[in-house]
Amino acid sequence: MTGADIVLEAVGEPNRRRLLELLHLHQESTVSELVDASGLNQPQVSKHLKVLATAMLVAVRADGRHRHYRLDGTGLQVAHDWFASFEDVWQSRFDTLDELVSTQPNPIPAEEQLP
Amino acid sequence: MNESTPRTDLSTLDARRGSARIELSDDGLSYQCVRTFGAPPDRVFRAFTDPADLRVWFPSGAPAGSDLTVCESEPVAGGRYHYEMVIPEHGQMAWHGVYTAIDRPERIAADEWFVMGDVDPTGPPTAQTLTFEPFGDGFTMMTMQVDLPDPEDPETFMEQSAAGLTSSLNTMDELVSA
Repeated sequence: MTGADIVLEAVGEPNRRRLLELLHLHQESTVSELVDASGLNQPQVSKHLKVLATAMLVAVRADGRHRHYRLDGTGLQVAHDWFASFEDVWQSRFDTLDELVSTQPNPIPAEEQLP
Repeated sequence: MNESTPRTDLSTLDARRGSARIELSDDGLSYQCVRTFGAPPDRVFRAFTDPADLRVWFPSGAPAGSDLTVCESEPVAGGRYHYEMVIPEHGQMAWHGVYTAIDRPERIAADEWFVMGDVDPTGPPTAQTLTFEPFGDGFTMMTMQVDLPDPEDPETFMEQSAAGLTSSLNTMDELVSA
C-alpha cells in the first residue's frame, strides 16, 4: 500500500472520521476523553487511534501515565491532495465536455437516435 | 466561435459553471455535483452516452500518456457501458456500467463498478444518476448524484474513501492551509 492508500483507508471508516472531528474540536484528548465524547468503547477508540497514527493522521504526546492525542497534518495533507486530484479530473472532464457541446451542435436529430 | 451569439446572463452561475466542486452528504454515502453546460439538454445527454463524444472528454485530466483503450456505450434501459484506460505508472482502470433507466434527454441512471487492474467487477455497484434541466437560453444544468454502496464492502473501498474524506473536508482545508 502507498501512503495515500493507508491514509484513505484510515479515513474511510465513519468512526475514525468522528474521532478526527473530535480531535479537531478539542485540540488534544486522551483516550478516555474520546471514549466519553464519541460513545465508542475504549478498545474501539484505541484500535482506531492506532490506525490513525499509522496513517500519520494523529500524533501522540506522552505525559506521565497519560497519552494525549492530537491531529497530525501530515496524513491530512496526503488525503487533501488525493481528493483534490479527484475533483481536478472532473473539472477537466467537464470543461472539455462543455467545449465540445458548445462548439459542436447535435449532428443527428434526437428523434433519429431513438430506437 | 460563439462570440457573436448573445447568451443569457449567467453571472449568478459563473462560479458554479466553472467548478466541479463535489459535495458530500452528511452520512458520507453519496455525493453530488452541479454544473452548467453551454448547449441544450439533448446535446449534453448525447455527450454523456455517445462513444465518439465520450472519447473526446472522458480522458481529460488523466496523466499524460494515458490511453482510453475501450469506450463502449449502449444508452438504453438495460444496456451496458464499458470504458478502460491505461494510465502510466498506475496501469489499467475500468468502468463497467449498466444503464438502469434512460429518459432522454432528462435523465440517465446507471449502476457502475469501477475496478483497477485486469479484473472482473464484483461487489455492489455505485448508483449514479445524471439529470439535465434546460437552463437559460439553450443551456443545461446538470446534476450528478452518486450513491455509494455498503461502506463495509472492501471491493468498493477506494470510492468509499473518496467520499469519506470529504465529510471532514472543511476541517482538512482549515488545517492544511494553516
